[in-house]
Amino acid sequence: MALIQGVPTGAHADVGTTSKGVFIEQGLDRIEGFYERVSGKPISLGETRSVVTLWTIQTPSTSETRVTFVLNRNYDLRPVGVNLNEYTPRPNMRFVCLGATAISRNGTAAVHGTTVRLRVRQQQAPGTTTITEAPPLLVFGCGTWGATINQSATTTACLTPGHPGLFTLIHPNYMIMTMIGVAAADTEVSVWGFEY
Amino acid sequence: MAQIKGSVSGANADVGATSKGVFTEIIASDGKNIGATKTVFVIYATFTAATTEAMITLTPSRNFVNGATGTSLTITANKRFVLLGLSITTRNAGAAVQGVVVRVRVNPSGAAITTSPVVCVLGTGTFSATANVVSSVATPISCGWPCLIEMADPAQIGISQVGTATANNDVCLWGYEY
Repeated sequence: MALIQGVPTGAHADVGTTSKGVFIEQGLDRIEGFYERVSGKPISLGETRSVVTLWTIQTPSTSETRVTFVLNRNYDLRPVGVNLNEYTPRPNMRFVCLGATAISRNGTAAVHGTTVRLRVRQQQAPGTTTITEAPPLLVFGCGTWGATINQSATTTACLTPGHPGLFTLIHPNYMIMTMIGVAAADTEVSVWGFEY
Repeated sequence: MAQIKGSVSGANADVGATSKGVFTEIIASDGKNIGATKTVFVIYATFTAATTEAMITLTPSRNFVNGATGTSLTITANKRFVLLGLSITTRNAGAAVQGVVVRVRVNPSGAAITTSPVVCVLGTGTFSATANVVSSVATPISCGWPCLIEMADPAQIGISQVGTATANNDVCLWGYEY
Protein backbone atom coordinates (compact mmCIF):
# COMPACT_ATOMS: atom_id res chain seq x y z
CA MET A 1 0.00 0.00 0.00
CA ALA A 2 2.91 2.37 0.29
CA LEU A 3 2.87 2.50 -3.47
CA ILE A 4 -0.13 4.77 -3.23
CA GLN A 5 2.12 7.71 -2.51
CA GLY A 6 3.24 7.76 -6.09
CA VAL A 7 1.51 9.41 -9.01
CA PRO A 8 -1.78 7.63 -9.70
CA THR A 9 -0.75 6.29 -13.06
CA GLY A 10 0.57 2.97 -14.19
CA ALA A 11 1.26 0.15 -11.84
CA HIS A 12 1.47 2.27 -8.71
CA ALA A 13 -2.13 3.28 -9.05
CA ASP A 14 -3.28 -0.18 -9.87
CA VAL A 15 -4.04 -1.25 -6.36
CA GLY A 16 -7.46 -2.66 -6.91
CA THR A 17 -10.77 -1.63 -5.50
CA THR A 18 -9.43 0.13 -2.42
CA SER A 19 -7.13 2.56 -4.21
CA LYS A 20 -9.47 5.48 -4.61
CA GLY A 21 -10.23 5.81 -0.99
CA VAL A 22 -6.67 5.61 0.14
CA PHE A 23 -5.54 8.15 -2.40
CA ILE A 24 -8.09 10.73 -1.26
CA GLU A 25 -7.19 10.24 2.34
CA GLN A 26 -3.60 11.02 1.56
CA GLY A 27 -4.69 14.39 0.21
CA LEU A 28 -6.61 15.21 3.33
CA ASP A 29 -3.68 14.43 5.52
CA ARG A 30 -1.53 16.81 3.54
CA ILE A 31 -4.04 19.65 3.76
CA GLU A 32 -4.14 19.50 7.52
CA GLY A 33 -0.38 19.43 7.66
CA PHE A 34 -0.09 22.56 5.56
CA TYR A 35 -2.33 24.50 7.85
CA GLU A 36 -0.41 23.63 10.89
CA ARG A 37 2.84 24.81 9.39
CA VAL A 38 1.65 27.93 7.62
CA SER A 39 -0.70 29.55 10.08
CA GLY A 40 0.68 28.16 13.30
CA LYS A 41 -2.82 27.21 14.33
CA PRO A 42 -4.27 24.08 12.79
CA ILE A 43 -7.55 24.51 11.01
CA SER A 44 -9.03 21.07 10.97
CA LEU A 45 -11.75 19.93 8.68
CA GLY A 46 -14.22 20.28 11.49
CA GLU A 47 -13.17 23.80 12.45
CA THR A 48 -15.92 26.29 13.13
CA ARG A 49 -15.48 29.50 11.17
CA SER A 50 -17.30 32.79 11.68
CA VAL A 51 -17.84 35.12 8.73
CA VAL A 52 -16.62 38.59 9.69
CA THR A 53 -17.56 41.74 7.76
CA LEU A 54 -16.54 45.35 8.29
CA TRP A 55 -18.38 48.15 6.56
CA THR A 56 -18.42 51.92 6.70
CA ILE A 57 -19.58 55.05 4.86
CA GLN A 58 -17.63 58.19 5.66
CA THR A 59 -16.83 61.70 4.57
CA PRO A 60 -13.06 61.80 4.28
CA SER A 61 -10.81 64.57 5.46
CA THR A 62 -7.89 66.20 3.66
CA SER A 63 -5.62 64.91 6.42
CA GLU A 64 -5.41 61.24 7.30
CA THR A 65 -8.06 60.47 9.88
CA ARG A 66 -9.29 57.35 11.61
CA VAL A 67 -12.79 56.33 10.79
CA THR A 68 -15.26 54.09 12.55
CA PHE A 69 -16.95 51.05 11.08
CA VAL A 70 -19.65 48.46 11.64
CA LEU A 71 -18.53 44.94 12.52
CA ASN A 72 -20.73 41.90 11.99
CA ARG A 73 -20.17 38.25 12.71
CA ASN A 74 -22.22 35.73 10.77
CA TYR A 75 -24.44 38.55 9.45
CA ASP A 76 -25.93 39.05 12.88
CA LEU A 77 -28.53 41.81 12.83
CA ARG A 78 -27.10 43.06 16.10
CA PRO A 79 -23.61 44.12 15.02
CA VAL A 80 -20.69 43.51 17.32
CA GLY A 81 -20.21 47.26 17.14
CA VAL A 82 -21.55 50.13 15.07
CA ASN A 83 -18.95 52.79 15.84
CA LEU A 84 -15.84 50.73 16.29
CA ASN A 85 -12.52 52.37 15.64
CA GLU A 86 -10.47 49.20 15.88
CA TYR A 87 -10.85 45.47 15.41
CA THR A 88 -9.07 42.49 16.85
CA PRO A 89 -9.98 38.83 16.52
CA ARG A 90 -11.53 37.28 19.56
CA PRO A 91 -9.09 35.86 22.13
CA ASN A 92 -7.27 32.77 20.91
CA MET A 93 -8.64 33.30 17.43
CA ARG A 94 -7.37 34.46 14.07
CA PHE A 95 -8.88 36.54 11.32
CA VAL A 96 -8.19 35.54 7.74
CA CYS A 97 -8.79 38.63 5.62
CA LEU A 98 -10.08 37.58 2.22
CA GLY A 99 -10.95 40.80 0.43
CA ALA A 100 -11.88 44.46 0.54
CA THR A 101 -13.42 47.13 -1.63
CA ALA A 102 -13.30 50.92 -1.47
CA ILE A 103 -15.82 53.14 -3.22
CA SER A 104 -15.98 56.81 -4.03
CA ARG A 105 -19.46 58.10 -4.72
CA ASN A 106 -20.10 61.72 -5.56
CA GLY A 107 -22.31 63.19 -2.88
CA THR A 108 -22.54 66.35 -4.97
CA ALA A 109 -21.92 67.29 -8.57
CA ALA A 110 -18.15 67.23 -8.12
CA VAL A 111 -15.49 64.58 -8.56
CA HIS A 112 -14.46 62.66 -5.47
CA GLY A 113 -11.46 60.64 -4.38
CA THR A 114 -10.09 58.92 -1.31
CA THR A 115 -7.10 56.93 -0.14
CA VAL A 116 -8.01 54.23 2.35
CA ARG A 117 -5.50 52.54 4.62
CA LEU A 118 -6.09 49.48 6.72
CA ARG A 119 -3.45 49.57 9.41
CA VAL A 120 -2.49 46.96 11.96
CA ARG A 121 -0.55 47.27 15.17
CA GLN A 122 0.92 44.06 16.41
CA GLN A 123 -0.08 44.28 20.03
CA GLN A 124 -1.23 46.84 22.55
CA ALA A 125 -4.02 47.58 24.97
CA PRO A 126 -7.43 48.19 23.43
CA GLY A 127 -8.04 51.76 22.35
CA THR A 128 -4.43 52.84 22.34
CA THR A 129 -3.44 52.41 18.71
CA THR A 130 -2.42 55.58 16.88
CA ILE A 131 -2.11 56.01 13.15
CA THR A 132 1.64 56.31 13.16
CA GLU A 133 2.09 53.24 15.30
CA ALA A 134 0.18 50.96 12.97
CA PRO A 135 1.85 50.03 9.69
CA PRO A 136 -0.49 49.69 6.73
CA LEU A 137 -1.43 46.21 5.64
CA LEU A 138 -3.45 47.50 2.72
CA VAL A 139 -3.48 50.85 0.92
CA PHE A 140 -5.90 51.51 -1.87
CA GLY A 141 -7.66 54.47 -3.37
CA CYS A 142 -10.52 55.30 -5.63
CA GLY A 143 -11.77 58.34 -7.43
CA THR A 144 -14.56 59.35 -9.74
CA TRP A 145 -14.12 60.75 -13.23
CA GLY A 146 -17.38 62.57 -13.76
CA ALA A 147 -18.71 65.55 -11.83
CA THR A 148 -22.17 64.09 -11.58
CA ILE A 149 -23.92 63.33 -8.34
CA ASN A 150 -23.91 59.58 -7.58
CA GLN A 151 -21.12 58.93 -10.05
CA SER A 152 -19.02 56.15 -8.53
CA ALA A 153 -15.77 54.21 -8.74
CA THR A 154 -14.35 51.19 -6.92
CA THR A 155 -11.03 49.60 -6.18
CA THR A 156 -10.99 45.97 -5.11
CA ALA A 157 -8.38 43.97 -3.27
CA CYS A 158 -7.99 40.23 -2.81
CA LEU A 159 -5.82 39.75 0.25
CA THR A 160 -5.90 35.97 0.45
CA PRO A 161 -5.53 34.23 -2.90
CA GLY A 162 -6.40 30.88 -1.35
CA HIS A 163 -4.91 28.10 0.68
CA PRO A 164 -2.19 28.14 1.90
CA GLY A 165 -1.70 31.86 1.31
CA LEU A 166 -3.71 33.04 4.27
CA PHE A 167 -3.47 36.73 5.19
CA THR A 168 -4.01 36.46 8.91
CA LEU A 169 -4.41 38.73 11.91
CA ILE A 170 -3.78 37.08 15.24
CA HIS A 171 -5.32 38.26 18.49
CA PRO A 172 -4.32 40.78 19.82
CA ASN A 173 -3.33 42.39 16.51
CA TYR A 174 -5.44 45.53 16.20
CA MET A 175 -6.64 46.80 12.83
CA ILE A 176 -7.75 50.37 12.25
CA MET A 177 -9.02 52.16 9.15
CA THR A 178 -7.99 55.62 7.97
CA MET A 179 -9.04 57.85 5.08
CA ILE A 180 -7.60 60.88 3.36
CA GLY A 181 -9.13 62.55 0.35
CA VAL A 182 -11.67 65.00 -0.95
CA ALA A 183 -13.55 66.39 2.03
CA ALA A 184 -16.95 65.45 0.73
CA ALA A 185 -19.34 62.54 0.91
CA ASP A 186 -19.06 59.56 0.36
CA THR A 187 -16.37 56.95 0.75
CA GLU A 188 -17.53 53.44 1.45
CA VAL A 189 -15.39 50.46 2.45
CA SER A 190 -16.20 46.80 2.92
CA VAL A 191 -13.84 44.15 4.28
CA TRP A 192 -14.64 40.46 4.65
CA GLY A 193 -13.03 37.31 5.94
CA PHE A 194 -13.45 34.74 8.67
CA GLU A 195 -12.34 34.05 12.21
CA TYR A 196 -11.28 30.63 13.37
CA MET B 1 -10.85 4.43 11.84
CA ALA B 2 -8.46 6.94 13.36
CA GLN B 3 -5.77 5.42 11.24
CA ILE B 4 -7.02 7.50 8.36
CA LYS B 5 -5.52 10.66 9.74
CA GLY B 6 -2.06 9.19 9.81
CA SER B 7 0.30 8.93 6.92
CA VAL B 8 -0.60 6.74 4.02
CA SER B 9 2.17 4.29 4.27
CA GLY B 10 2.16 0.78 5.50
CA ALA B 11 -0.71 -0.69 7.40
CA ASN B 12 -2.37 2.61 8.21
CA ALA B 13 -3.32 3.11 4.62
CA ASP B 14 -4.64 -0.38 4.24
CA VAL B 15 -8.19 0.41 5.21
CA GLY B 16 -9.79 -1.69 2.55
CA ALA B 17 -13.29 -1.26 1.33
CA THR B 18 -14.32 1.02 4.17
CA SER B 19 -11.93 3.81 3.30
CA LYS B 20 -14.29 5.91 1.29
CA GLY B 21 -16.87 5.83 4.01
CA VAL B 22 -14.41 7.11 6.55
CA PHE B 23 -13.51 9.96 4.21
CA THR B 24 -17.12 10.98 4.09
CA GLU B 25 -17.36 11.05 7.83
CA ILE B 26 -14.42 13.40 8.13
CA ILE B 27 -15.77 15.78 5.54
CA ALA B 28 -19.19 15.84 7.13
CA SER B 29 -17.83 17.76 10.06
CA ASP B 30 -16.76 20.50 7.67
CA GLY B 31 -20.23 21.15 6.38
CA LYS B 32 -19.96 18.54 3.64
CA ASN B 33 -18.29 20.88 1.17
CA ILE B 34 -15.63 18.61 -0.22
CA GLY B 35 -17.21 15.79 -2.06
CA ALA B 36 -20.70 17.29 -1.85
CA THR B 37 -22.91 17.75 -4.87
CA LYS B 38 -22.85 21.42 -5.76
CA THR B 39 -25.37 23.57 -7.56
CA VAL B 40 -24.19 26.59 -9.50
CA PHE B 41 -26.12 29.53 -8.10
CA VAL B 42 -26.09 32.86 -9.94
CA ILE B 43 -28.07 35.93 -8.89
CA TYR B 44 -28.44 38.66 -11.46
CA ALA B 45 -30.47 41.65 -12.56
CA THR B 46 -30.64 44.47 -15.03
CA PHE B 47 -32.06 47.48 -13.25
CA THR B 48 -32.62 51.20 -13.18
CA ALA B 49 -30.80 52.88 -10.35
CA ALA B 50 -32.34 55.39 -7.98
CA THR B 51 -30.97 58.22 -5.91
CA THR B 52 -32.44 56.64 -2.79
CA GLU B 53 -31.21 53.21 -1.77
CA ALA B 54 -33.59 50.40 -2.63
CA MET B 55 -33.46 46.64 -3.04
CA ILE B 56 -32.99 45.27 -6.55
CA THR B 57 -35.42 42.74 -7.96
CA LEU B 58 -33.14 39.77 -8.59
CA THR B 59 -33.40 36.61 -10.62
CA PRO B 60 -31.93 33.46 -9.07
CA SER B 61 -30.49 30.90 -11.45
CA ARG B 62 -29.65 27.42 -10.21
CA ASN B 63 -27.69 25.27 -12.61
CA PHE B 64 -28.63 27.87 -15.21
CA VAL B 65 -32.37 27.57 -14.75
CA ASN B 66 -34.12 30.77 -13.76
CA GLY B 67 -36.24 30.86 -10.63
CA ALA B 68 -38.80 33.24 -9.23
CA THR B 69 -37.58 36.82 -8.95
CA GLY B 70 -37.50 38.71 -5.69
CA THR B 71 -35.73 41.39 -3.69
CA SER B 72 -34.74 38.86 -1.02
CA LEU B 73 -33.76 35.35 -2.05
CA THR B 74 -33.77 32.26 0.10
CA ILE B 75 -31.19 29.53 0.27
CA THR B 76 -32.31 26.04 -0.57
CA ALA B 77 -33.47 24.23 2.56
CA ASN B 78 -30.64 22.64 4.52
CA LYS B 79 -28.05 24.04 2.11
CA ARG B 80 -25.26 26.59 2.23
CA PHE B 81 -24.49 29.26 -0.34
CA VAL B 82 -20.85 30.08 -1.03
CA LEU B 83 -20.42 33.58 -2.47
CA LEU B 84 -17.61 33.45 -5.02
CA GLY B 85 -17.71 36.81 -6.77
CA LEU B 86 -19.63 39.96 -7.61
CA SER B 87 -19.64 42.23 -10.66
CA ILE B 88 -21.53 45.31 -11.75
CA THR B 89 -21.75 47.20 -15.00
CA THR B 90 -23.27 50.52 -15.89
CA ARG B 91 -23.96 51.63 -19.46
CA ASN B 92 -24.96 55.17 -20.32
CA ALA B 93 -28.67 55.31 -20.98
CA GLY B 94 -28.19 58.66 -22.70
CA ALA B 95 -25.49 61.16 -23.53
CA ALA B 96 -24.52 61.70 -19.90
CA VAL B 97 -22.25 59.97 -17.43
CA GLN B 98 -23.92 57.73 -14.88
CA GLY B 99 -22.95 55.63 -11.90
CA VAL B 100 -24.23 53.10 -9.43
CA VAL B 101 -23.32 51.50 -6.10
CA VAL B 102 -24.54 48.06 -5.03
CA ARG B 103 -24.43 46.46 -1.59
CA VAL B 104 -24.77 42.73 -0.96
CA ARG B 105 -26.85 42.31 2.18
CA VAL B 106 -27.64 39.23 4.23
CA ASN B 107 -30.28 38.68 6.87
CA PRO B 108 -29.62 35.52 8.90
CA SER B 109 -33.24 35.06 9.87
CA GLY B 110 -35.56 36.93 7.52
CA ALA B 111 -35.85 39.05 4.42
CA ALA B 112 -32.80 41.04 3.36
CA ILE B 113 -33.61 44.75 3.38
CA THR B 114 -31.67 47.99 3.02
CA THR B 115 -30.52 47.88 6.64
CA SER B 116 -29.34 44.26 6.66
CA PRO B 117 -25.62 43.58 7.26
CA VAL B 118 -23.37 44.30 4.30
CA VAL B 119 -20.98 41.69 2.96
CA CYS B 120 -19.52 43.52 -0.01
CA VAL B 121 -19.96 46.81 -1.85
CA LEU B 122 -19.07 47.81 -5.40
CA GLY B 123 -19.55 51.01 -7.36
CA THR B 124 -18.81 52.08 -10.87
CA GLY B 125 -19.36 55.06 -13.17
CA THR B 126 -18.82 55.90 -16.80
CA PHE B 127 -16.08 58.23 -17.92
CA SER B 128 -17.65 59.79 -20.98
CA ALA B 129 -20.98 61.47 -21.68
CA THR B 130 -21.71 59.33 -24.69
CA ALA B 131 -24.64 56.98 -24.97
CA ASN B 132 -23.79 53.31 -24.35
CA VAL B 133 -20.38 53.97 -22.88
CA VAL B 134 -19.74 51.26 -20.29
CA SER B 135 -17.89 50.97 -17.02
CA SER B 136 -17.58 47.84 -14.91
CA VAL B 137 -15.93 46.42 -11.81
CA ALA B 138 -15.75 42.97 -10.26
CA THR B 139 -14.30 41.34 -7.18
CA PRO B 140 -13.75 37.85 -5.88
CA ILE B 141 -15.44 37.24 -2.53
CA SER B 142 -14.36 33.74 -1.62
CA CYS B 143 -11.01 32.24 -2.44
CA GLY B 144 -9.83 28.65 -2.45
CA TRP B 145 -11.07 26.34 0.27
CA PRO B 146 -11.31 26.92 3.22
CA CYS B 147 -11.41 30.66 2.52
CA LEU B 148 -15.12 30.76 1.89
CA ILE B 149 -17.72 33.40 2.61
CA GLU B 150 -20.90 31.42 2.94
CA MET B 151 -24.38 31.64 4.37
CA ALA B 152 -26.75 28.90 5.42
CA ASP B 153 -30.47 28.33 5.20
CA PRO B 154 -32.60 30.08 6.58
CA ALA B 155 -30.56 33.21 5.79
CA GLN B 156 -31.72 35.37 2.90
CA ILE B 157 -29.67 37.48 0.54
CA GLY B 158 -30.43 40.64 -1.39
CA ILE B 159 -28.63 43.43 -3.22
CA SER B 160 -29.42 47.09 -2.76
CA GLN B 161 -28.56 49.91 -5.16
CA VAL B 162 -28.15 53.66 -5.19
CA GLY B 163 -26.92 55.80 -8.06
CA THR B 164 -27.87 58.16 -10.82
CA ALA B 165 -31.50 57.63 -11.74
CA THR B 166 -30.64 55.89 -14.96
CA ALA B 167 -31.22 52.55 -16.61
CA ASN B 168 -28.84 49.94 -18.03
CA ASN B 169 -27.21 48.74 -14.83
CA ASP B 170 -26.30 45.10 -14.38
CA VAL B 171 -25.30 43.16 -11.29
CA CYS B 172 -24.20 39.54 -11.09
CA LEU B 173 -23.35 37.54 -7.98
CA TRP B 174 -22.12 34.00 -8.51
CA GLY B 175 -21.36 31.04 -6.30
CA TYR B 176 -22.70 27.62 -5.46
CA GLU B 177 -24.97 25.83 -3.06
CA TYR B 178 -24.03 22.62 -1.33
